[in-house]
Amino acid sequence: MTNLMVLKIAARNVFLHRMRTLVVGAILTFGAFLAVLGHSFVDGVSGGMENSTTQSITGDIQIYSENAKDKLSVFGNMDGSPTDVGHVGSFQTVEQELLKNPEIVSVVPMGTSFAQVSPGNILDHFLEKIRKSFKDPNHDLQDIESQKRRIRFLVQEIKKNLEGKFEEIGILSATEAAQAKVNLELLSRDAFWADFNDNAENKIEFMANKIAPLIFDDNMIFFNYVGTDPQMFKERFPQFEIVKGEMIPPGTRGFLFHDYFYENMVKHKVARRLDQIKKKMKDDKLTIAGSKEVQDQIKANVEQSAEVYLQLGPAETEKVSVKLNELLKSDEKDFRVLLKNYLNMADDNFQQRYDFFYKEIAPHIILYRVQIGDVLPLSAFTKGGTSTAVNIKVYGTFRFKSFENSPLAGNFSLMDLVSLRELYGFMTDERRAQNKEIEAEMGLADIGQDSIENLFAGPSDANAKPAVATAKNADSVDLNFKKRIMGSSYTQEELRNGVFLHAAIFLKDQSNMKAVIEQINETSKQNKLGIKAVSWQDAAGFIGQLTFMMKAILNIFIGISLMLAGLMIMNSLLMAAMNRKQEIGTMRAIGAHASFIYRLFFYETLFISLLFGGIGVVFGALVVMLIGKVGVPASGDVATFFFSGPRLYLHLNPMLIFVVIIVMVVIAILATQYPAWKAMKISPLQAMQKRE
Amino acid sequence: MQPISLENVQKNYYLDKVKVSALKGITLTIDAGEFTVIAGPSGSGKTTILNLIGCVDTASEGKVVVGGKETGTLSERQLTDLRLHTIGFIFQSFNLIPVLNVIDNIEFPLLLQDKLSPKERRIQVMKFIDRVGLSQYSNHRPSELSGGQRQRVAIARALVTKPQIVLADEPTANLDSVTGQNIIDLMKEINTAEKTTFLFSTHDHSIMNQARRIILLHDGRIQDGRLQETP
Repeated sequence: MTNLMVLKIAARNVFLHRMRTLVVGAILTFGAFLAVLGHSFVDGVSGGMENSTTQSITGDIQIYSENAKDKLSVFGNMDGSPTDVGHVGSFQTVEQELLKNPEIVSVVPMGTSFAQVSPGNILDHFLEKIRKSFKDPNHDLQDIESQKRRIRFLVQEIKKNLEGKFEEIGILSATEAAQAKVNLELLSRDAFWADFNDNAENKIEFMANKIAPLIFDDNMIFFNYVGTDPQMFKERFPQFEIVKGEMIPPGTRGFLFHDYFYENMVKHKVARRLDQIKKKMKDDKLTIAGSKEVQDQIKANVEQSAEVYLQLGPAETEKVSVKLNELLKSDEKDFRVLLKNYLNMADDNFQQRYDFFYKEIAPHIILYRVQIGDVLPLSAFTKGGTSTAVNIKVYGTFRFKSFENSPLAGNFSLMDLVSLRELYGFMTDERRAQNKEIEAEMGLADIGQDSIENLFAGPSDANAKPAVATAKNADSVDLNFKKRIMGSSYTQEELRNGVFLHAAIFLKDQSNMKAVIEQINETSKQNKLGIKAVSWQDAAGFIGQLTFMMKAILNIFIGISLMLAGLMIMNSLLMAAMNRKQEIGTMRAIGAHASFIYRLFFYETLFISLLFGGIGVVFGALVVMLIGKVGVPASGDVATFFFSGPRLYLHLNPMLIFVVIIVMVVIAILATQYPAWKAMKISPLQAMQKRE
Repeated sequence: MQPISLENVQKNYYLDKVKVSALKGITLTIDAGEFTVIAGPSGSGKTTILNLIGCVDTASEGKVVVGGKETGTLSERQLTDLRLHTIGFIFQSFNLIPVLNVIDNIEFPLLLQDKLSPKERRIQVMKFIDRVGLSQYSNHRPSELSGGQRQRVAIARALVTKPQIVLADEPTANLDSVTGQNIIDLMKEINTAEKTTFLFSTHDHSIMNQARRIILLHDGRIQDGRLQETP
C-alpha cells in the first residue's frame, strides 16, 4: 500500500515543481523523439541499402576464394579500385556441395569488375553509318547524299569551333595543329566532296583518323559490371526486369546496361539534364527560380548547346530553327543563339519546351551514345593487369523493380559469365578454338596455356622460349579477336564448369545467415572447396559498414542527449533532496525506512521519464508514420545513394518503441541512484530543525 | 513499565574539533501516562533529550531505554521501527508533507505500519480528524490551513497509530497564545482519555504550569538534580 502513497507523493512533487519538470521533460521528450525518429530513419536507410544490395547483387551470403588477396567488396574499395579476390575453380562442384545444405535455395555464380567502352564521338557515329550505307548493295543514293551533307556540316562546325583555338589545345603539338588546320581546310573545299562516292572508303577512313579525334569530349564510359549466368540471375533476383530491348538469349553472350546507368550516363547530356529537372520539379516540388541546383543544370544545358547543334544536319537545323522561332515567337537567324535562348528555360515554359525537345529535337540527335543492339568493344584489365577487350552485343537495359532509381542497385550492368572470364583473362572454349584455328592458319603449335595472360608472362626458364616466340604473333592475333563479335553461344556446361570470382547464395530464411555461413565454411574445409562465406554486409564492403557507422553516430547523439537528460534529472533530484531535507527527515522520524525514500525518488524520476519519454515516443512515432506516407525526398546524389532511391519511406518498428521506453526506465534508474542515496542519508534529526 | 528511562546520559557534539557537551549525565524516568514538560532556557538541552528519547539521535554515553528497548543497541532499521510503532512526533514547525492533504498526512504513518486494511485505516483517520476538529478540512492541503489547524493535523498524525509515547518539541512556539492553549488542552484531553505518555518541551511559562510534571534543564543538567512536581 505504501507504493500507492509513494506514487501519490512522487506525482504531486512532479506537478508541484513544474518548471524543473518541464525543463527535464523537454530534454527527455527530445531524446525519445530523436531515438524513435533517428532510428526509424537509419533503419529505413539501412533497409533500403540492404534491399538494394541483397536484391541486386549480393544475395544473402557471398562466397569467394579462401586464398583471396583482398577481402571481398563487391562495390570495390573506398578509392573505387576493385578488390582482388582471386577465383574459385569450378562452379559446378561448389554449387553441388552447397545445395546439399537444406537452408540454401540457390547459388548464383558471379564476377564483378569494371570496364570501359569508347562508343566513338558524333563524327565517328556518322562515319560508321555512311560506311555501312556504302557497303549495302541496295544503298539509297539520296540518303547517302543527305548523310554526306550532314558530315560536311559537322566538319564545318568543328572547324568553326577550333578557329583560333588550335594553340590553346595543349594536347596538339605545333606540327599536329598545323596539319589539323590543313586537313580541315581540305575538307571545306568542294573538291573533297565532289568525288567522295568514288573514293568513299579512303575518305571515310581519313576523316575517322584525322578529323574525328579533333572532337575533344569525355566520350569514354566507365562502368561496373557483374558477369553471371544471366538466366539464373534473372530467376534469383525476382525484382529484375528488362526495361528496354530484350533479355540476353539463353546460352548467348551479351550485355545489359542497368537502366539507371543507361539513363544517367549513356543518354545525351542535354536530354538527361532535362529529365532530371523535370523529375526534381515533379517529385521534389523544386522550381527553377527557387533552386540553385536546378539553375545550374539549366546553365549547363545552355553552355553545352553544342551537344545538340553538332548532331543536327543542315536540313534538321533549318527545320528545328523554324519550329524554335515559332515556339519562342522570335526571328533569330543564328541557330546557336536560338538554341541557347530555347535551352535557357524558366518555370513557366519548362514543360512546353521539354515536350518540344522530345517531339522536335530528340528524333534528330543521338539520344543514347550506345544503342540497344550495338556491339560494344569493352576493354578491361585482366587479373594480371594487362588490357584486354571483347566485343559484346548490348541486348537492352534492366532494372530492379521498386528500387529502379537506386544508384546503389544501379551500380552494376550485366554480362554473361563466359565474357567476364575472358575479360578477366581466362581462356574460354570459344577463344581456345579460335586460337587453334589461327594457330593452324599461321602454322603455330598449341602452346598449351590455359590463360591468355601467360602468353605475355615472359620467359621464366629456358623452356619458355617457344612462348616468347609465339607472343609476338599472339599480339597481332589479338587484333583479329577484337574484330570478332563475341556474341556467339556457349554451352551450359562451359558456363557451369568454369571459374567464378564470387557467388551469391540465397537462403530460405535470412535470419539463419550466421549459422549457414559457418556451415558453408565447414563444408568447404571438409570437401576442399577452397571457398569462404561472408554475410552480405561484409560483401558490400564499406557500403555494408555505412549503416553501422550511421547507427553509431546516431546513438552517440541520442546517448549525449539522454546523458544530458540523465544529468539534469540527477541534478534536479539532488536539489530536490536538499530542499526537502526537513520533509524527508520528518518522514524518516515518523518511521519511513530509507528504502521508502529511495522509492520516492525513483518513482518521481520514473514518472517524469515515462511521461515525457512517452510524449517523445508518440511524437516521434507520429512523424515516422507521416514520413511513412509522404516520404523524405532525396536532395542530391548523396541522399539518393543513402535513401537507395528518390524518397525514403519510414516504417515504425514496435520493438523500437519498446526499447526506447526501456532506455527511459534505465535512465530513470541511473539518474536516481546518487540523489536517492544522498536523500537516504538525510537524518531524521533534520525534522527537528526549527523554522521560525 | 516505565516507557522512558535515561541513565547517566551524556551527549557530546564537536564544533570545529571543540567538544561541546549538550547533556551532562542525565538520569530520568518517565512513567506511562505522564504529561510532562521539559523546560529550560535555549541551549539547555531540551531538544537533545527529546531527540534521544525519539530515537533520532543516540547518546554519547549512558543508557536510553524507550518502550523497553535500549536504543544504543539497536540498528538503524530497528530504531526506525521503534519510532514507527512506539513514538508519535509533534514538531514545532508542524512538518506536514506539503503535497498531501489532511487525510493523507494523517494516514501516512498508518500506511508505513501496514497493519490495517484500507477500510480500517480510513475509519481510524476519520476518527482522529474528527477528534482534532478538522472534519470539514479533510481534503485541504497544509498550505490551505492556519498554523493551529496544521498543528492539529500534526497531533492527529502523531496519535493515529496509538503510540505509547508522544514527543512534542515546542508545539506551541509558532502559534498565538489562544491557539497554543487550545493545542495544549487537546493534548491533555487525549492524555487523559488514551493514557498516552506526553513529553514536550517549552519555554512558555503559562504552558509549563499546566503540566503535571516539569523537568527543568540548565546547561545540560537537570537543575539541582531533582524533579519539580506541579500541583
